[in-house]
Amino acid sequence: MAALQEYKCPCCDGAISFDIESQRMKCPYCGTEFDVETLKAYDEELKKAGQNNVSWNSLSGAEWYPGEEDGLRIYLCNTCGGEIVADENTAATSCPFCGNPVVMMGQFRGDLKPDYVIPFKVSKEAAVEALKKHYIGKKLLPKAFKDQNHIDEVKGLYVPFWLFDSDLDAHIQYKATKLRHWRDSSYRYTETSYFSAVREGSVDFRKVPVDGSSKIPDELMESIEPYDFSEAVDFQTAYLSGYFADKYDIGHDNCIARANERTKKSAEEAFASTVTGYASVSAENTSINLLKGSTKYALYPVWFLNTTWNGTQYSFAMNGQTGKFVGDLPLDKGAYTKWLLGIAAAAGIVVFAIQYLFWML
Amino acid sequence: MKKRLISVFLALFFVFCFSLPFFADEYGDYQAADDSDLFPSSYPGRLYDGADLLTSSEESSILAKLNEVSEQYKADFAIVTVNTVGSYSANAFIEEFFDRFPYGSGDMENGGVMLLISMQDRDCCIISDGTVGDTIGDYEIDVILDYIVSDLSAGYYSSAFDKFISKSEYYVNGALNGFPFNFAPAIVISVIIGFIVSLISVSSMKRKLKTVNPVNEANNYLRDGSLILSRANDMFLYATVSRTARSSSSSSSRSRSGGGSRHVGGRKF
Repeated sequence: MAALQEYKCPCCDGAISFDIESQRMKCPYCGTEFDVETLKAYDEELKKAGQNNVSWNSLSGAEWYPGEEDGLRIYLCNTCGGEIVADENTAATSCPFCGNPVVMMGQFRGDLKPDYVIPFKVSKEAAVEALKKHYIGKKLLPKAFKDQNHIDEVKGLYVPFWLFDSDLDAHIQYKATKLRHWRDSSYRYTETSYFSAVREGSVDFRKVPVDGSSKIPDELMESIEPYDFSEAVDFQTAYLSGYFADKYDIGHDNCIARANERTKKSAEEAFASTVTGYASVSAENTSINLLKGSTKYALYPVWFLNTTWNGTQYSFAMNGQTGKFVGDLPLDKGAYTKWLLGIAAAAGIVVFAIQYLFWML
Repeated sequence: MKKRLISVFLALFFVFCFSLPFFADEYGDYQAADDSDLFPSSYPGRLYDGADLLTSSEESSILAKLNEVSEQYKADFAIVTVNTVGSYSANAFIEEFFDRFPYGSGDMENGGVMLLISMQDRDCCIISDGTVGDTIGDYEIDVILDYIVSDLSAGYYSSAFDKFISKSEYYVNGALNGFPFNFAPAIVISVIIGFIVSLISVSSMKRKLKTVNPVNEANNYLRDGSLILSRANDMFLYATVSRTARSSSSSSSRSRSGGGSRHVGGRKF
């Protein structure tokens, strides 16, 4: 089986890729559309776990800085023979010479095969539009940023996620208080009653995602959540054609800690809502047991946009399914000061006028 | 021989002295034979220092001020100090005192305001009557008492009385001629509130710039309806009581037909 898979149109032999609008495979040359199912046959080989038969070469010829050559692989494009240099985790990319989309089948062999994928639902144009919309309403964004900010790169990448299902058994002890006020002629009294509220029960979580790629910042991925798992389909490599993809490089054992942190917090909050009638409630002791759990591996779609302004790189990400757009923007210190003083002055004048009016009456 | 006689004589003298009982004159033990002992027999003027809290020079200077202000506003500004109010409450005593003598009547058409200091239980109270009573109500009485109570507690009676006169005059003058607009506190308040409002708005604008944040919960992934509570137990542990002292004060007020009202308010000092 070929190390690199390129999907060819049965009609015109052009390279076909996954089309977002129709949610099917589409040939950009002759316009023919195919269901992704029809290309299932290509994935049959993947079921066989075994030696990763990849014909990648170790680097030769060119000089690399120390460390740079670790984790790099070279593939040969089937169409034009050009060298495709890729990360050891890259699972789908495009040939830099002829532009054909390629999928590195070896990255999905055996255990590495994802269980699910959510195909891209929002287009590249939508991503660029969303970036422009992201600037709107940000009064403290430097004006020059909007004008001078150049998009270096817009990349549609399938990010590897570990999805954790868990049925949890929880035993949580809360500390709660009740207050009572009264007064007599000489004093004001406050009585604080302390309670211990114990809640036991079970709660289930489904498909809690944790980023399985060390290259992609976890915070960024958490910010574009949530993903709607109901739109996930069984994995087929054909979906990746036309986009980039990475396979995981952090094992699920290392990701489960984060999932546990998040589900524990949610369990505490969920059970806290059953502790009612108190002035304050806080969790003191939480003990969570996993009754049943399962782990799945999925690829979720993300649009990445990288821009540079004033020598600093800014990264933006958009959820490829829901369109949620995030990315930190720089602060215009001058505008900050101007707004601070301006509003202070305006509010101050209003307050002064109100006081004067009161005096007049 | 002579020295011995002198020392024996001195010793006997001291023994005699120390064996004499002393009578302590505490305010609490003073018993009035009847009501009339508490009050002066005739109109005592605008300053009656029954408890002798002022020196004679202080007395004359304060009396002069009282007379001057009273003539100016056609209202009786008066100060009374006593050692005891007998079985009266301080508020009742000052009312009785005010009514017994012609305060706030005749020439003094605008009524009057009187301060009473009773050393018996360390009470201070103020009565305002007539048109002045309309101006100096329960709230203003509280303000005046707030203003003078620390001086009274410390024993600076002359200073407290000066403050009473100036504050009461301020209110009466304000009612007649309008209070001046206080620029300084108004500006300070405007600046402070202005900055608070500004900080809040600008912080919210700044927060909009940061959209990348970790999500520390998994509420979106909680399966609906999967929360099953198997045991709920609320147990009382213990209770604590805390208290803060209230400033004790009492007041009463009523209005009179034909204009004018009376207000009485007092507290401990």
